[in-house]
Amino acid sequence: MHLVIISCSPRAQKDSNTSKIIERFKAGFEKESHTTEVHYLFMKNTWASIREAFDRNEHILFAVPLFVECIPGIMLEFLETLKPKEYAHGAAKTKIGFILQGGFAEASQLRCGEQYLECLPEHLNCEYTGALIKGNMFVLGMLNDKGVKSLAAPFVDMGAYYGKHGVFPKDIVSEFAKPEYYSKTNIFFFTLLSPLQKLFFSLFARKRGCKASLNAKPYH
Amino acid sequence: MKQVMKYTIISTVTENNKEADAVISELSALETETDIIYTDNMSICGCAGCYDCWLKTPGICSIKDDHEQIFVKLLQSDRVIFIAEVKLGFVSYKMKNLLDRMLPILTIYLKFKNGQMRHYTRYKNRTDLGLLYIGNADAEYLAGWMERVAINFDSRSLGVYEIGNRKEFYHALGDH
Ligand SMILES: Cc1cc2nc3c(=O)[nH]c(=O)nc-3n(C[C@H](O)[C@H](O)[C@H](O)COP(=O)(O)O)c2cc1C
Repeated sequence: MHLVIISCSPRAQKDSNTSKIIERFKAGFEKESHTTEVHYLFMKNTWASIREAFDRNEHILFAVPLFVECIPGIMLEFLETLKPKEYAHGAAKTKIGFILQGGFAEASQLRCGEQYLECLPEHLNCEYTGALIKGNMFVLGMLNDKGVKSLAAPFVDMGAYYGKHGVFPKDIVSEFAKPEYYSKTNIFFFTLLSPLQKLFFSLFARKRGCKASLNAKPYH
Repeated sequence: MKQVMKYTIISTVTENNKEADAVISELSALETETDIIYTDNMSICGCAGCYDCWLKTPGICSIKDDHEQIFVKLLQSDRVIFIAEVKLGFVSYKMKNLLDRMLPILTIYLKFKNGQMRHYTRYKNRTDLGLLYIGNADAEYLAGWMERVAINFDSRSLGVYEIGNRKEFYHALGDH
């Protein structure tokens, strides 16, 4: 199968967590001797050719960062420019799958977005093949190459899986995305260690030249 | 004595949309302090996802456009009511961009609230959010989405109603 992957982050390819995940996913998918082409929404002057790829191909995968509980504005804007697909008599419908990844760690945080994605292909007269969801991906942007490789590694297997089966079944997705919620014990330790979390983030910001407090209130 | 609530209506639909106009005049008649913002003639980009507002210039968006005045207005309001068109079963990107750009309201710091991970908010004031939509949508889904959005911003949802059902919305405002 030839898969058109559309990266829906507004961030440039080199900075985006979504593109790092796509890279891993693609590696697994192509192991099954399939082919891919990857498009990026962050440059609007390329949208015409992305639309064309959407129109001409039967297998589409949108890779999406979760923004405010659903899909990013830039993706909505792009989708609003697509026309629902039309088919020759008897032709199979185009299949659309999704990768939805977010910053918060628990799978439960992605369910609201997933619910929307379930209905989206129908609006484009396409078929839904599932959504692979995963939290705790914000940190991808803070890790070195080795760290990124190891955190995003599970996407290689899921790429291979999608290559074999062409769907993301719900039970497999839930297993991949777990935990659905943090346990009370984990929340306890997270809270206990929260001064360290704050220190980590402020050191990270300081290293990049930020002089202000991360709690600054510029519009007070 | 009834406390005076500061309302801001943010209309993301084209000016002189009759139903949106009706909401604006009805709500202004009901509530003493009501401001109106039409975003149609403003230049507002989508969030660039750069996190400068968390890590580089905390609280300040790296994009310089008309969104800043909406951001400030939102901070100063007790209640914001969005008017938005529905496209593909969800609010149009014109409204979603406004919400994505609210990220500087949060700090990068994380906590758990009612068993789920959340960010600490940057400011003490909280702004409740409501939505009147135009078009075909699953109202229940949008209401659930808005609940979650509000929790993320440490505020409350005032509900989501199809614009034709706005009388219900006005009644419900008194209950919140
Ligand atoms: C405007 C904005 C809103 C976000 N909203 C959420 C959210 O509601 N839930 C969540 O888990 N992560 C949220 N995130 C975090 C991103 O989904 C996460 O960092 C992702 O890995 C970014 O991918 P990218 O680098 O490809 O853009 C948000 C990020 C931004 C910039």
